[in-house]
Amino acid sequence: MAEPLLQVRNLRTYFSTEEGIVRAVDGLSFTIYESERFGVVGESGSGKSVCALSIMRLIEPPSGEIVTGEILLQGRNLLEFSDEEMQDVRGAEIAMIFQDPMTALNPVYTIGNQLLETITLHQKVGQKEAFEIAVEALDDVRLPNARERMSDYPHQLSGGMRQRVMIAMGLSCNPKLLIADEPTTALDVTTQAQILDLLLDLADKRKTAVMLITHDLGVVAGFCDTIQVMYGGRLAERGVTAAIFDDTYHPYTAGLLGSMTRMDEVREERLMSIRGAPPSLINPGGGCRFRARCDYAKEVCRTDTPLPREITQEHWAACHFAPDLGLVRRTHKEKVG
Amino acid sequence: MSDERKGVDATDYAALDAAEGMAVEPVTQWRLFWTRFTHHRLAMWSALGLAIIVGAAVFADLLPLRDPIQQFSDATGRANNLLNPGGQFPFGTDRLGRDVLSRVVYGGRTSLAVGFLTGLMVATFGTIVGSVAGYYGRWIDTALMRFTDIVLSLPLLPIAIVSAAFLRENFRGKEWLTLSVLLGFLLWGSLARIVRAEFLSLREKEFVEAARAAGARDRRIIFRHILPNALSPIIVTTTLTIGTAIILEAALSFLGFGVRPPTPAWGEMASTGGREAVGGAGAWWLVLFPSMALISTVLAVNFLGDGLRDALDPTQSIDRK
Amino acid sequence: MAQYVVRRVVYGMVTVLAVSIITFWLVQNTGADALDRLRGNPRIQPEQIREMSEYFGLDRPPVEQYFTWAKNFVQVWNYPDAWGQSFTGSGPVQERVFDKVLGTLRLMVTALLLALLIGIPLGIFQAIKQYSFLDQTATTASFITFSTPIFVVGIGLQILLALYLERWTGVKFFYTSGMNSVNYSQFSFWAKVGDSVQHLFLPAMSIALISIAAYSRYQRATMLEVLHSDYMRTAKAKGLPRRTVVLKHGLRNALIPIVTLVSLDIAGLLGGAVITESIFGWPGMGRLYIEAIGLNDWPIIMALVVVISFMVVVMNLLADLAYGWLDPRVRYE
Repeated sequence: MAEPLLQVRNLRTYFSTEEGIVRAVDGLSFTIYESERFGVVGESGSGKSVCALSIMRLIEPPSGEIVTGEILLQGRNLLEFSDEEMQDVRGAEIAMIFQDPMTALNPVYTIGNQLLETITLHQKVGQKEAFEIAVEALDDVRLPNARERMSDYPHQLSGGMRQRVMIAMGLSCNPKLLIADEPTTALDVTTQAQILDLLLDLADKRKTAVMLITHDLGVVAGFCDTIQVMYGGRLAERGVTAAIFDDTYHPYTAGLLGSMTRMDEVREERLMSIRGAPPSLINPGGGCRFRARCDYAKEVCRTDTPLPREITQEHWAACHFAPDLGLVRRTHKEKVG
Repeated sequence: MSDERKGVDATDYAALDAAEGMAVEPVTQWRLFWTRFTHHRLAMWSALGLAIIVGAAVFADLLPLRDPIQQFSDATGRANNLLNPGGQFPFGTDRLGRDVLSRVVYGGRTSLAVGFLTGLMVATFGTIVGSVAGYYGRWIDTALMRFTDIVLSLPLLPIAIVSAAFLRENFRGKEWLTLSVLLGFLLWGSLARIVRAEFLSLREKEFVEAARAAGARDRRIIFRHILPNALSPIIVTTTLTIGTAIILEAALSFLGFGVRPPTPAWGEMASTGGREAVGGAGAWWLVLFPSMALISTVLAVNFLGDGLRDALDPTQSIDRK
Repeated sequence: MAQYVVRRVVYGMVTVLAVSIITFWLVQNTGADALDRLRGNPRIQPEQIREMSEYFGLDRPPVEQYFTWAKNFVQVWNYPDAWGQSFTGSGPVQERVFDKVLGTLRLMVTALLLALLIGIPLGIFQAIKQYSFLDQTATTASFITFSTPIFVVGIGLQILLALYLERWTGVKFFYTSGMNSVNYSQFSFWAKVGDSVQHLFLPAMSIALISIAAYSRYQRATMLEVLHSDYMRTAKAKGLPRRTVVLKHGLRNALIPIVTLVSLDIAGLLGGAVITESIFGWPGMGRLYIEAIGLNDWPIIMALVVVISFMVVVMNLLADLAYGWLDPRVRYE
């Protein structure tokens, strides 16, 4: 049984804006285990990116602030770390890669320069050795002509290659956890698949835990062990992949699944879309944040906030009526074959 | 399986939301602009200030002011270089005994006339060139833009000076008009570029295709469809150009190439005043008041332009100055 | 890249040509005919009039005069007569002009240095400490400076920093006219340096102030954009210390765009010099230009106009090249 690597407890991250306080993450708790592939799914505004930035403590004051919570990295609370201690964690113990590799890499420095920067910072090695480590990292991400590429600038590479460089940068110091924030969203479909495969492979080899953030359920389906669905800055549902897809407990998850096409089933009904729009996180009001768009909402959803409950083994949902809604989708077992 | 849902509640959530104050009401574009603009306090004050300045200049002869070119003498002889203890001459007099206050007010006429007229010319000419270039593209665009580039690369002040000298000689008496034409010719370039950029992007939008499909001719498309959407950078840039034109006119009259004396002009007053002030007589009021007039006017125009820019399109960055 | 340079050089030449033609036409049509003027000037001897008339072809039609002038003008190596004689009888144009070019260059280069050394750090600092007291004050000051004509700045500086400062402290800090004091040549080295600075500071500052306002505003905006860009976030996510993030990743990107602004500002600096030289009695091209226009001395006017546009074209080109060299996205196309 793997050890818990990262434990987030009751995280609340708020931003002050002209219109009010945005409660981007409002009471989130979860655990990521060593070498686990943990997927975080949600639409824009669900708080998934803010959650990741909070873990890295990249939330900028004065507008953003982690108001309460604990983030335990192998037992140590990151929120109590000093700036220097946090700098030692970033890149070395937890690494993060971002969505758009064109803007995420500095255009005026070579990729070699940017790679070496991390390596020499976190590992006590000389320039020559660092260079070799960097080339090796580029080889690992299957970048052709790695050695020559070291002196290239970001704009000389294609989108897919740049994302590989980002991954190389992220993994170069062997972090325990790699957070990937929508790593494939800016890429075309073919490249998407390649990058995901690559990530899978490398994570396995190095036993790195991966937190994969995306809005696309299809992406996490093939990749992740555990899936966490977020909505309105809170947890909607969390469980192992099979459970999420087959034994759905939360209406939002069901909605997402209903709006997806799946290759392994024959559909007889129209794709569903979830009515309404995401809630404003400034004055979300009490109760369940999904109620305005939920087909099953009742009065209690307005008055009482549904807290996440462990419905079955390691399968959590934040809904008053889970698991009784009968959202179980066994269609694919019945229709195919 | 999918359409059967258990326990669906038919509560009217729309009504609930409305009751909770979450209803959304439609807002027109004009309303949006007006709200944003009136919130920009500086712009509002500037608009007011500018209105006062323009009003004073236009209606100068209705105000209780002395004749700006008359030389006043005291009981004995010339009354020159009075300090400005209120009373008789609130802003003092110059070496020839002329009332500085009325000269400052009347001087506004030249500056403002040139400023607004230049703005008008820049707006007209720049928009025409920019829209034609941006809309038709290809060789028309290249030709027009090459021409614009040459105009833009002319060294501004030296050309302005030699042209102003030429105009002064050959068109006596109508300096405010000729200067406006000159400045209009020198300054339309940036606006043309901006308008062209707008047209290049707007031309590709669907509403243009729709209009064309409905049979609209080019001219109609340009004026009726695309231009209204390109208005905000035009308005903002023109406003800022008015400020530049006022400064340029002042510089030209400072150097002696503006309106002919004894017509008062702020730049010329600052020039003479500067010599008096520094040269030894210490008549600081001769410099201060026309300078203040200039600075306040241009400042008001610039703040107004800034406010217009924020109100019309808060996301757009037009001018990188 | 080479293609780009060639294109710019060609454009530059076209500009200089256009400027010369326009100016020639304007000058020809301003005021009295050149020959009449020369004859009416008691200080010029008849032989001089004959020489000048021949050299410039003053009795020929204007178009031919232009070509004559142009042909002579480009043969710069025929110093000092290539550009002809001044119509005021004050000697060869080339001599008079070259004298003044250095004066103006001294002023412009100093002004540019002041503007860069003050404006850029100010803008950067404003961005890092956004909304601080300094930021707000500097922004307001910039706005006001933008709206102030340069001659007001010049006269204002003269009154405040020269006149009043001397009155209050009894010490003459800065001079308000000329480039050097009268007995400059007799000064020791350091006295010469001090004297030059005392004369140079006010006029250079007058020109620089408006540029400082422009550069700091632009730099502030650019720096803010840089500070909020994705690669800054990546740099922090890698665990780099804050200083490295700002200085290494931020600064380099923030300094590149300002080169474009400087390129656009060159023409403005020159215009500013023209006015400032008048106010401060500075012996430069600007003052000569205005004098010559007053006297309709067109050999001098033409020479100055060409030299000025040429300078602008060259400086613009240098700025563009600098930009291309600094930004790897342009350098490695």
